[in-house]
Amino acid sequence: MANTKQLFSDTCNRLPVSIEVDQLKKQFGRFVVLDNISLKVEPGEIFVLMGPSGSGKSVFLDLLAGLSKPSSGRLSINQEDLQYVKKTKKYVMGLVFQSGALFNSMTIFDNLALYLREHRLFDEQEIKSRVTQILDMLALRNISEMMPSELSGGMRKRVALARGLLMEPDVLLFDEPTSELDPVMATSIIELIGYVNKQLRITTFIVSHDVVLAQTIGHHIALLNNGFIREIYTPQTLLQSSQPFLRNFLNPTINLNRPRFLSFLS
Amino acid sequence: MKLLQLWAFIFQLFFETCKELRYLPRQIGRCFEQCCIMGYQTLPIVGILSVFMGGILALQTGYSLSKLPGAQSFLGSIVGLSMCRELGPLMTAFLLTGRVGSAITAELGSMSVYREVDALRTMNLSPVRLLVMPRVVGGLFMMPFLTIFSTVLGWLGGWIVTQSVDFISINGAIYWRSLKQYVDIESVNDGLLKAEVFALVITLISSAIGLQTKGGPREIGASVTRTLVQSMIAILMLDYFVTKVLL
Repeated sequence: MANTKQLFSDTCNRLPVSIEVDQLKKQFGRFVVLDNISLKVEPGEIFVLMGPSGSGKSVFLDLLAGLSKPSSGRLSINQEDLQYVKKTKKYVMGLVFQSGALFNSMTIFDNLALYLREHRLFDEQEIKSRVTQILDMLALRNISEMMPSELSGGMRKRVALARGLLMEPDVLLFDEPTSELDPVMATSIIELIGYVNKQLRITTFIVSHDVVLAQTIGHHIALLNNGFIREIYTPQTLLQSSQPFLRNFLNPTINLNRPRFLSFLS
Repeated sequence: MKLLQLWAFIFQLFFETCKELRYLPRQIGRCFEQCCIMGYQTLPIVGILSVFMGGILALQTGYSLSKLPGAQSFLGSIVGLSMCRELGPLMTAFLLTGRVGSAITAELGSMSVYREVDALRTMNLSPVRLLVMPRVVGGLFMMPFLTIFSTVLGWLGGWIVTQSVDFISINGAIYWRSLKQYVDIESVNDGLLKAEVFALVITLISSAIGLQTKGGPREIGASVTRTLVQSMIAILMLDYFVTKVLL
């Protein structure tokens, strides 16, 4: 991994960006998914947004990636409105999807080369060199001619990360990077995200319900519940908080005699 | 309401596709790939159905005309004009809907459901440029060839029937002479114009429905059905209006 900085020299030479979210609201019809969300992600840090399933984490990530528009409120990068940023293509956002979202009709090589080819960033020889280097870096040698359907879950996640990194993004966004992985593979993905952030100082926003991930690599952590963020924590204050919802989320008690989804029966 | 939204999206897709045509030289590989899928792979089924279509037309018409002395000498012109002005483009359009339109919807639908289209958007790559425009260009390029192929094989089917059925008492030379006498270049052009309109409609409808697909595998299946229904209704309605304008 010694040549990481050399491979991403553009990223290393750029200043990391900040993300500001101000009174953001998103609703589908009458159903309010996100309400009055305000937060700031400092340049180069890892921000983890946690929350139970269905709390609106992925909706928030879609808004941040510019895939949908907020109902009200403002999203900005380096204090420039995200709508303007998307139009001018000034900042590059690399989104690593939960499923990987690799193009199933293309080989892994073509998946990774697509962005560089379509934007005509380098000649074919340089593209080949960059793709080979990143595959080596992520321990994915000899898979360049394979199809995405032939890969395991962990490999797909790493290829998706490689695709995001090859874009040399200003912001890296992750949607549940450790879901559907065994504990060892999940740990290796956490290490990889932490390493990339340390080396390249890319501002990183992660949506996850993995407490280990949040505590080990997150600089700031927010908990989303019913569309609200009550407080923003550091890994230290997260453990010290006495808020009941947070305590229950971090250490859920298991009651086999009275499962919570069956509580409506009583 | 849903139907209006779909047609608004189809028109939007049409204008976006026109806008993306400036990138055609860079997408020529993808266009060529679509031409192969639409043309080469559809050719055998178009051929088989067209031969039988021409044959059935000759059989039914020949039987009806056998009651009028001398009327069978017009069989060549009837089969010739019907195939090149109407049945050739229409049959090819229906086959393209079933074979290619459904495949486009299924492919783009699964790309939408599994977020591959969103992945393109986050890469600042236009899904219309990479996914829709090559399919529209491929359809527009291959449809005239398929239509001519279908028309000629339909004529051949008609000729085979005139030679092999007892109650049709004309020889091949009369069939071809009658066909050549009435089928002019204008009729062929009218058929090709219709074919181009149909190709545009099929590729746009199937792409639009594919890109609008949300949910899971069940919704992909429902989208394919929707493509077939919408395309066939649009083809028949357009066929009427285009024919009226051309006559």
